[in-house]
Amino acid sequence: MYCPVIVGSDKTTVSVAMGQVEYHPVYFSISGIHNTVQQAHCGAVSPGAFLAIPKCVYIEIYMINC
Amino acid sequence: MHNIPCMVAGCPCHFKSQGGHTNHVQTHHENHNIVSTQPIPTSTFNEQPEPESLCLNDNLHSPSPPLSPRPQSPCHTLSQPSNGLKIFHLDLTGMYILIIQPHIILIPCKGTPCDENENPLELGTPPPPRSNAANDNWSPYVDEVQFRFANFTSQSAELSGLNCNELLDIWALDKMKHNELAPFASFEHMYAIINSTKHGDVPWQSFKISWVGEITPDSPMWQREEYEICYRNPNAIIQDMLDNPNFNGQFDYAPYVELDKSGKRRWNNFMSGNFS
Repeated sequence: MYCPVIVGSDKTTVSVAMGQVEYHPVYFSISGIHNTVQQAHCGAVSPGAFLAIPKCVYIEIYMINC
Repeated sequence: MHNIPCMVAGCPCHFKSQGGHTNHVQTHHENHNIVSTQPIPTSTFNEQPEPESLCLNDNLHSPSPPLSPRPQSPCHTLSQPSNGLKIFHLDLTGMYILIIQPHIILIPCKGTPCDENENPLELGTPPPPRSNAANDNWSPYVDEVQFRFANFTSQSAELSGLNCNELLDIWALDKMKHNELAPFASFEHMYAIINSTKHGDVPWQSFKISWVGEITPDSPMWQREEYEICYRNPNAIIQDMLDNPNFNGQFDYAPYVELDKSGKRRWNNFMSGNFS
């Protein structure tokens, strides 16, 4: 079956968990669903992964350089 | 001097500069709002198409992709607008078999109904009934006793693991008289079965990643830490969505171009876009 998949991740920070790790969600959706349903039905978009984002990279570089 | 001719066959226009030529081509020849609706002779599915039209890349980059009316079927007329026209993509509606060169992979991409093994169905065939689990199917639990025990201890009584083990020990003592076993060997066994229950959402999994390079005393903090990635099987997520009966009648099975009464392109759902 021909089924294009839409995958996206936005900047929404789900929660600050355990120190300096934040999670950014990755969403999955399929493109066959009509626009109206896509916007209204929560089953049309589903979270598929939570990516861990290290936050402190630039701060540390800055501190080392100083 | 208008000495740059338009490269599109049959166009008499000439231009002074390359920029004017580009502007003209983009406006009049590559405008995706202008759709050619000239009738294309329909062919049967078994008929072999021309070799040059088989190449996927050629189709993607041609200025006016070949379009063909979609075969009428009862389930597709639901989404057919009363005052407009929907033109479906030639390669993806079951008219042709899509071949990706040079490896010649046959991919039958169709918007027409098929069974679970991708065999095309007769038009008008009703969908098979949705299979509901039988009432006596307690999978992954062995029987009703096991399910009710897990449900009671974890949901209603919220027993701790140790209390659970104590209860299971007492139960096992009683069962030993008849040479039988308690519903679970231990609370770990029960938790494993609860976690393997497939109902509703796709289960979450996780793994941890960390920096594998050399860590020196000067290494920044992010290289020393471990990061947890939680994920679900994307294939199972997509299958769950496709399985959702709420989307029935509000779903496009193939890309299409929609035109209103005046022949103007109408952009609506994802599958009506050029990117599909």
